[in-house]
Amino acid sequence: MSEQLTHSASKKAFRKDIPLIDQIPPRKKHILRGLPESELHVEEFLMNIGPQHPSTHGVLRLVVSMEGEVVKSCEPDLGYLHRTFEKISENRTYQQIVPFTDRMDYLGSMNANWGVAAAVEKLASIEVPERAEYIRVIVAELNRIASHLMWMGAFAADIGALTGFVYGFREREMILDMFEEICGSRLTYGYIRVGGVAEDVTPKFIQMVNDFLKILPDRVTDYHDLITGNVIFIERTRGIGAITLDEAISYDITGPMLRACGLPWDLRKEEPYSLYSKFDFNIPAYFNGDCYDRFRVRMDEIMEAAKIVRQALDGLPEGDYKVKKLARNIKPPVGDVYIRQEAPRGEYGVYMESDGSIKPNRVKYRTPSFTNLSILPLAARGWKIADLIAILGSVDIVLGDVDR
Amino acid sequence: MRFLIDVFKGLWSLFVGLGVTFKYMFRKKTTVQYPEIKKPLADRFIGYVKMMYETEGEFAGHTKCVACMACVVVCPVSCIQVTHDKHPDPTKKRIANDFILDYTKCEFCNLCVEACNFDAIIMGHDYELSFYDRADMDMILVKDKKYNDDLYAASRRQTGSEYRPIIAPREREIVDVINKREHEERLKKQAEKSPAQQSE
Amino acid sequence: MDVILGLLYVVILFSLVAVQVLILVFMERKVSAWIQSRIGPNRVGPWGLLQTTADIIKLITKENIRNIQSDKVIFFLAPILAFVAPFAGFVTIPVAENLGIQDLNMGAVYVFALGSSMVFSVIWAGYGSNNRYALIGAMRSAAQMISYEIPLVTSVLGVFLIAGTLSMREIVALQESGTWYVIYQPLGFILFLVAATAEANRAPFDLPEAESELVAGFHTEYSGMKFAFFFLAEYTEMLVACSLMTVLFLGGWLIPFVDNSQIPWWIHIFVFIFKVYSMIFLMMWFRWTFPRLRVDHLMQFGWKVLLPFALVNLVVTGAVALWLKS
Ligand code: SF4
Ligand code: SF4
Repeated sequence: MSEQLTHSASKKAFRKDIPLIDQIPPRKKHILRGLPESELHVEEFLMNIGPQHPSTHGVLRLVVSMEGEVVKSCEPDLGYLHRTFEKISENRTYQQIVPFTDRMDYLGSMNANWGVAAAVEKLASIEVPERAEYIRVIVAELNRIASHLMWMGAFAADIGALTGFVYGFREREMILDMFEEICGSRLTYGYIRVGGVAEDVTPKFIQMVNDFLKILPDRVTDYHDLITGNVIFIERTRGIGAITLDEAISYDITGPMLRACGLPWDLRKEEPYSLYSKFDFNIPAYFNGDCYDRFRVRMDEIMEAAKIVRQALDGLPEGDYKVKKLARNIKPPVGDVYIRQEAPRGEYGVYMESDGSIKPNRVKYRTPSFTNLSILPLAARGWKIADLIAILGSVDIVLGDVDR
Repeated sequence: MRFLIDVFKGLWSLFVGLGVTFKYMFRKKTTVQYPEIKKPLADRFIGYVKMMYETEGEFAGHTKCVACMACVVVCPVSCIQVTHDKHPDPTKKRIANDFILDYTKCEFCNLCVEACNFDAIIMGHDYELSFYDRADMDMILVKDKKYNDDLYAASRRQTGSEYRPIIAPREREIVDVINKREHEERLKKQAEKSPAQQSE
Repeated sequence: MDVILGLLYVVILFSLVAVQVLILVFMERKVSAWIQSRIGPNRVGPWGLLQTTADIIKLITKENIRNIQSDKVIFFLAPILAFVAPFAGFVTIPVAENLGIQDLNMGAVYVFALGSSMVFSVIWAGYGSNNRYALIGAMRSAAQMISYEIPLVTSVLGVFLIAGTLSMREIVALQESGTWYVIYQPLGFILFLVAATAEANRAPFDLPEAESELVAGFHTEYSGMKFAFFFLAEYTEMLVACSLMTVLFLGGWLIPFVDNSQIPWWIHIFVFIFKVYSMIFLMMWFRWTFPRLRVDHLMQFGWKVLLPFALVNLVVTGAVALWLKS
């Protein structure tokens, strides 16, 4: 009977030691796959979660069939936010595409801009000034911090700790202020353009970044005290929604979700683009592939990103912030290009095909949220409805990024 | 025993969390009391597209826009329409007659401002851009400064907003109505005053 | 004559409780705001004091919406019962030496009995509204309330053992001279605090209304005044729980190390209110710090942690009491 229990974790509530910082040994083969074959006749119970639901992070609809509180199957229903960005991009000049990418991953706009800019630059062989690359690294990493902070808050709120939500937003606000300082927008930046960045950084921006980096470690310690170490949080997340590395790879999971499964795969290290080979940083990885490890990976990434920002800020060279002479309408030679970068949510890819005109012939975005969401039915199977929300939260989806 | 230790460890972690929230209870609050206190905006803040006018010289009050169409071309969502007239200044060819901006479409991407070589449009610093009617979002950034100023004043009276450039076609009528009403009120006040003065 | 007097008491009690709830809701908002580095309500009235009043007015004037497939009678009765049960619990709670509606000699039992009838209203609400979120919320709530009832009562049995009575007033009177029962029963106090939080459906045990999973739990379908009743009930229940804590463990209206017979009754009232509000603050602080437990963890915590500890507490207390007596 005991093997039939779905929850290895729940059997031992409050009986585990609570390793706060030290690493948990690699998990044994988990027994979460098979659902219990109940002798009682239990009627299936269909529940519709979303598209307007407090915790689906946007307009995602989940059709969940349950046995009591246990999720038997869960099917995401997408498309409520579909805006045909790929098609739109094929009808715009290369420079005009950039503002649209803001609307895809609206929590990591800088990274989304960068992918397109880098793709066009590679297609048209444009050489970007070094200062621009430094600025790009700084803003992209700051955006990663902002995105993870926001995620941390939303995840804590999913678990029920509403205070963490506000704390996450409070620090994110400081980053938004910085972005407002350099590009005038707080959410849809459109800052990284083809051939550089839109405008140069200001001394005030550098001052703000310095201030932020000074207080960040303190605040992160607070988050760890408030959330990571909390015994209820650990009970709610450890072992929950665990996926193995094989499953993660076969589902093409990338980003923090993959790193939580034990593979420190990060495009910034594996295929260093831009200036990432110059900086010294680690790729945090944990082994269990559960919600708790996803949380810890992201929290560690905040600190690593802060390290990169620090180094980039110190090494910021003088020079141009964008290519001086850039044609108003770029006409890249015929060819195609695939650029992939490490966005906060995982691998963000841009495929572009040029037919020699001012508009691309074909554009395809490979957005991390979409592929990462595909594992939800597998990861959520056999868990309770409360865990489903936690698992969904830990995937870190942005619906704009999923639906495009 | 292990059980007891776990319970106490768990309790301790809860106390640590309580400590964090207690600490922030007495810290400085981060809230900005919005309508009264507004956060200072960055210089580069992107609010809305604002028309610039010649401030000096013979043609002061005329728009700087020469209807070169650079912004129209560069706008990714084609939300700008410009019609033109002959410029009163013989050294210049054309002047914008109507500069219509469809705010329902605008992405606030700043590309149009960067494209303009004549500094005719800039990004304003207003973020309170809400409207009651979709038609109001077709803003006409017109050429005549006087007309524009009228509208600004009217919208300020109406909404209390400092910058709101409501320049919808219907707005002209509103301005007229408001002006008329104010005029009538003034007349009424004078009428009230004068008998009182007479009785004294 | 008695009937009129009784009715008068009820009206006074109702208005007092309603005002208390208004204050509590306001306090909850302020406390949560402070914890979260915010300011909290400050627009309606001085210092935002009238915010909850405005909310209540909004709720009263709101349209009453009922799901057409809901069970009419049950749907209507649930919020009424939800409010009446904890409200009636106030009858036995002594606020000051001679203040309090009725001192039953089984006072404590009466309050606990009424508290457990709350579960009916929750089940009715969940079943009557014909909504799946509500049903799940109600089921959770029933399981939770039933399993926390036991540690709740077991944890206070120690107090009754020491006091030798079930009358609230006598229990307070026995705590004269600064020997609050929290000193004799620290474990009992903590257990009672936890169990009472769960019994009142407060975070971290607010599963019945876990908003990230179940929208609003058992009262998802309720709006307007009916919703206000559930709202009122939650805070009333909290008030009752904290009053019980004050009476049973914190010496009620008594000020320690002072000759309490010399102190006027109105100071006693303030002392009582101060103690109750401190406990309420504690509960709010918990709510805005901790995440929510999962339903099976909750059960296991109740049965495997709270109950054994409560039993141990009871046995040790009994043994010591026996030893002292002999
Ligand atoms: S800001 Fe962008 S979208 Fe708006 S009018 Fe200018 S170019 Fe067009
Ligand atoms: S605003 Fe500037 S770019 Fe646009 S038409 Fe006028 S002068 Fe040309």
